[in-house]
Amino acid sequence: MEMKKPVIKSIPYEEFKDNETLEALIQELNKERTNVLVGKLDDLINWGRSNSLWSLTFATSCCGIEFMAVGAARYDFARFGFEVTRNSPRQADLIMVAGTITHKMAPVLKRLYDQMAEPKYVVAVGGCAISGGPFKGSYHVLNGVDKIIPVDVYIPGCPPRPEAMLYGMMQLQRKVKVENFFGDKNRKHKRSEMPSDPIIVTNVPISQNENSEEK
Amino acid sequence: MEFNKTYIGRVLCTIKSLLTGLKTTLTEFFTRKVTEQYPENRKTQHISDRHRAMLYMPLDENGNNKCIACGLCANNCPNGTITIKTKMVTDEETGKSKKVLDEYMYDLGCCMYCQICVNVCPKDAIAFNNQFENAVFDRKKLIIKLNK
Amino acid sequence: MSPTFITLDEFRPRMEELRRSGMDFLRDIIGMDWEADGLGAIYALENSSTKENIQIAVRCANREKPQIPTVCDMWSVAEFYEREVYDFYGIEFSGHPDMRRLFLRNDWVGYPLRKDYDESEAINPIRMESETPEDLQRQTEIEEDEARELFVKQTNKIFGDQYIINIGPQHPATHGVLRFRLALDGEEIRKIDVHCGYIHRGIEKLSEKLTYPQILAFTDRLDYLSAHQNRHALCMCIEKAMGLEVTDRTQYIRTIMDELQRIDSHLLFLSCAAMDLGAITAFIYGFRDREKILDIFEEVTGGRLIQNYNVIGGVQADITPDFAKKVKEYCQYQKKKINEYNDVFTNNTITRKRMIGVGKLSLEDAISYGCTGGTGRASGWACDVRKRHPYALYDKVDFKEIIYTNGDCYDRYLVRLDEILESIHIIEQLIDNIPEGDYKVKTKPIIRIPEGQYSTSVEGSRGEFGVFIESHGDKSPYRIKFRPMGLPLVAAMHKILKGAKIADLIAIGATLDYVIPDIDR
Repeated sequence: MEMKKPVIKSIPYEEFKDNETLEALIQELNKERTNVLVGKLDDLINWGRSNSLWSLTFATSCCGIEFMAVGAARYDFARFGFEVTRNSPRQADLIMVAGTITHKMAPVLKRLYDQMAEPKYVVAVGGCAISGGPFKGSYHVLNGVDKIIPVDVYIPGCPPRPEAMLYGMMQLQRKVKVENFFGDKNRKHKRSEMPSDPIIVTNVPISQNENSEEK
Repeated sequence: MEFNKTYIGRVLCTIKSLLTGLKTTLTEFFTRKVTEQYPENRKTQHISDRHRAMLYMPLDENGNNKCIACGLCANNCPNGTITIKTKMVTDEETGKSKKVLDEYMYDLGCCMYCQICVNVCPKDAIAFNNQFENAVFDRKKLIIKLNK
Repeated sequence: MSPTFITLDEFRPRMEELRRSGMDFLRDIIGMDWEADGLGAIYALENSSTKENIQIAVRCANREKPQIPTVCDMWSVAEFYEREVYDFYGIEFSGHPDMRRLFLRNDWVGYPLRKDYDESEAINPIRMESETPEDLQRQTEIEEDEARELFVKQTNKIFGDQYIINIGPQHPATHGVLRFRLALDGEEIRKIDVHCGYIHRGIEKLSEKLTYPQILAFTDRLDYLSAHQNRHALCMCIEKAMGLEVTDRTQYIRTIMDELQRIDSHLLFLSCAAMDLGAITAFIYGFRDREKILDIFEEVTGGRLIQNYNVIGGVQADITPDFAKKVKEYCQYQKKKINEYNDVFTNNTITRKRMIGVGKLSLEDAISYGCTGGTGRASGWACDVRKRHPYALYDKVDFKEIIYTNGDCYDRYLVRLDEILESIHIIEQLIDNIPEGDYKVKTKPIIRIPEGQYSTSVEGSRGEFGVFIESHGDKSPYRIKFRPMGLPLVAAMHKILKGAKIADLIAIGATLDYVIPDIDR
């Protein structure tokens, strides 16, 4: 069966880096033949999704300033459809981890990632998020954000140019375009792994001024 | 800007501030826009030559690199971005064996572009170029072998 | 200059005497581990009227339970500096009102900057649950009520009985990862507790294993909006210690780049302050003008944000031939654009209502907290390092120091707007007269500094940035300390926020202009 190749305007398919991973992903997702109607509906929905990926405002250090510069007038990411950045993780499609993640920030990042709703993507921007970067030998730095959350695209640089970040976003758009939207093949956690029992919280802090008898 | 206490004074102040805003908007409306249309302008955009995006080994006229495998770049790198593997090669004419470069691995995901490796290289075998389109899906693709 | 060593017994009387004699600016408290000689601290003091400097050092031999008397009743900023020294060295300051860690998690084991600290993963693994903040840890007392029955009363250790909300660390208005816990009464803020350390990368400990050229690359990432000035400070300190003189051409280039970086930082300040108050148009205008400076930087240094330009002995590469022309064009352009910012943002009635009279910081408080930079100058304190202790070419150019007296948010904003014009004035005096010569002086391949203590300061975009190096003759420093520009500003927040509302917190945070990686290092 002819493999569907994602098309990005203005850059031909061959000029993109890392086509091998994308082709391996396409083969795995399309192991069974799909219905033509569902396939066409998938294409339509993926086109809509890939052209309106809204990211979470998350910036820890220097790469955050380049992220703000991508949003400003000269390298406008609104031209691609990434119109606004949402402040709440429930409303965001992707999280662009820009900046160093430390041991103190790691649980916060994991909690933000868990709060996002599927389908969600993670882009690791800059050397610090990919591998710890300049601070690799430090006692308080996490060496790469892929130790705690799964990463979809890596954008190298210290800090990467705004055009390099836009190129990384176009790679993400290609990945979104090949996914199967129906029949949760691309969920990151399989349904069987999700907890089925209700989660019971046991250590709620007691409200203030509560008197209790104690002998 | 003094705020007049009279009602008419305040109304006129308000109208003046609205007109100032309108004047700015109209000036901007007729100014040339600064947005760079990437990726449509990939062939014509100007990126500075000194911009540091990736390390590469410049080749001489015969297509060979100039590295002598001294290891100074790998030792001086602050966070271990460069790894060099060497091998011993015997010269056929003189029979002496010397150390040459086998593999030069450069980790694009760790590099901090401090230029210490370029500054200490005694033969100018490595340099930075401005090819910034390097985003990939897989972490292992960022570890690049520089010598072909 | 070398610090004067005094014993623990005469420490407190001596500090009180120095304070009475006019030493009212505590620049920094530098924790030290002198191995066999014990743990201790160096206090750098300055007299704000006579500009006299003195450094006092004190050490205690007991490594199990080191204790030094506190000085936070004399200099208010010592509250935060002493917490930092406790966090990194374990020295307890007796009499401190709130002795907790500042940067690391409160369940961290060990004191990192001690020389015998064990960095293995087993002791401090990556903990995936957030720490419980101290104000949620209950302290319990057993009391009797009228019926002579015993009951347990639980009160919040820090905030007492008040209503607490949490802001951050991921928040669009905190300029990075800073976390506040506020106690509220309706909309008024009663008390604020600041949690730093979410971007603490351990730069000072990392530097103790690296050589001097390798440390230079870190200074660009401390406060990335005064990257040139930070790196200039470190290069000046090392060159002073080695006794190396740089050429005139280097001094001209360094001064011009410093001033361009200052304009860049102030444009970003006004963009972000406008965005925090809701005026997104001014954000776009500020960034558009900032891109012109970044173009100039990229042509000469090769980087937009992280420039990597000053090296020990000079600069990395010579300036391009059309540098002077581009800078002059930019200066003409920027002078016209300031009027546009005034139209859109400064004279707007909403801006004035939100910023005038809000968040006052008096002159005595500014000096006691050590708030240098635009914040200090808006309160009336003439703290510009370029005028007090001139370096590079600042004693040869003519420029005014901008001082306002009200100390509220609007003055802090106006100070920086006027400083943009002053920086353009300095650049115009220098740009046509760059002398010919070498851009770099030759140095040995391995750089060693003679034994001793050295310190320098420069005027960064946000305040006074200082570098302190203690060297034992090796190619790595024994101890290197960077004076943060933003920590005094964050320490002063609870004084500024008395009686303010939550919306004022955003305006005050925006105009104080701190950058979090500079606070946390």
